[in-house]
Amino acid sequence: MSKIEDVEKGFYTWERRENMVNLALKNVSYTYKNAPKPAVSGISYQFEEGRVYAIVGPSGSGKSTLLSLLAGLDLPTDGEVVFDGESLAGLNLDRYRRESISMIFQAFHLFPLLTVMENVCFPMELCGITPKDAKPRAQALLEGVGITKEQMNRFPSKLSGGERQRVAIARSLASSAKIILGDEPTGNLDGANTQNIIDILCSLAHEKGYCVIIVTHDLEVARAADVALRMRDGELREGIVSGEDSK
Amino acid sequence: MEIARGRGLKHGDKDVGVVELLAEKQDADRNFYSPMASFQINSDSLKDMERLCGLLEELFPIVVVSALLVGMFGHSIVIMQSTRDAVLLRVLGVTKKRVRCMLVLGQVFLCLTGVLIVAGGLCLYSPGLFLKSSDTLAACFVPYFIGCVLSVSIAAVQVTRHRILELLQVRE
Repeated sequence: MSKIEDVEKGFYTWERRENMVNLALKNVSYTYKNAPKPAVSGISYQFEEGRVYAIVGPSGSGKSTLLSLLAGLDLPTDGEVVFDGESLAGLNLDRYRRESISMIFQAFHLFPLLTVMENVCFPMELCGITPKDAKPRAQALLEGVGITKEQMNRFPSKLSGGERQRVAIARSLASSAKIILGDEPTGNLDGANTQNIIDILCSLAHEKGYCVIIVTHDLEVARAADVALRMRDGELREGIVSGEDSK
Repeated sequence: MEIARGRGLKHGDKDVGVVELLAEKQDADRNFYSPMASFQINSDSLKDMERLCGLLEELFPIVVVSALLVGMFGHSIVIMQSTRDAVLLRVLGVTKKRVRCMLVLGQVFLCLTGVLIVAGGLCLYSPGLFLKSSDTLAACFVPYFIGCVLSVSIAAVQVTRHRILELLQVRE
């Protein structure tokens, strides 16, 4: 199946993804240079498609480091991150980030000089889709997250925080990525928008089969997730999150 | 020099010829009469102008060095300001090489655009002056361009060496 066909089947027609997500951590550890102890220590975990994972922990517990490793932005100092049966160390990481995972951030990080439509088209064009083919797909994605046609031609600075995060989610769906990684995606949003974003992410996981992994301080997000993982002192555990994990 | 006025005058053994000169040097007045002009030039002013020209000649290497420094620091600062965008491009899967090329070519293009605007503007304003000062312009533009290329190349490498995710996080 060609890349364009895969992309068409994957999101343009909003069909449920048939591909299995296989992202696993195998005894992963990461120690920063000159650091006395590892930021991530001996984590083994298997992530599955169709589920929302929330990684909660206090500041300095290693959540963002773990996210960096899952996103292929860093390689572990020990152990391996395995995607589709292959270690990330043996993969082209730029291609992995382009085609297999996508990220959303607390500060949205949309390109300020591109319109909303252009922001969403950008990852598709990186994957080789022509602007002419990318535009209708981007439009469908934006409509799917509740962005109107009029808003699509605006610059991100003209949108509210909630709208910008929805655009960021649409951008994350633009490539053929099966995994969405969120770094505090609701951190800058009020209660109503937070619930809106949680609903969209849960819908993507449960109805469209995405694997959504969110790093968050927000207990509301953790409670809405299918699996809550607690991160403390570089170690990951499944379990009930408490108020201490939001500090 | 003796007064040469009218026709058929001689200056020493030389035939002055048909000259309508008012060239007269009066040591007492220290005035110089230009044959074709109707103004007087004070020799003190002439000395000031000579002093000014000498100063400009001394300052010219400083101007060239300044052009080099502006090219180096101005453009590299712009690239440093684009660190977050560069990091975001890396997160989206753009290769390191491509990000560096984008940063460098963007600034080189701006540099060349500036050079063309200055050169073109001067050429339109005064083609004669542009031709006369082409060496001077080249002496300024070349170090500016070289400084720009060197500094943006170094800055692009620095920007793409950053730890990626840290730069996109919101510090509390």
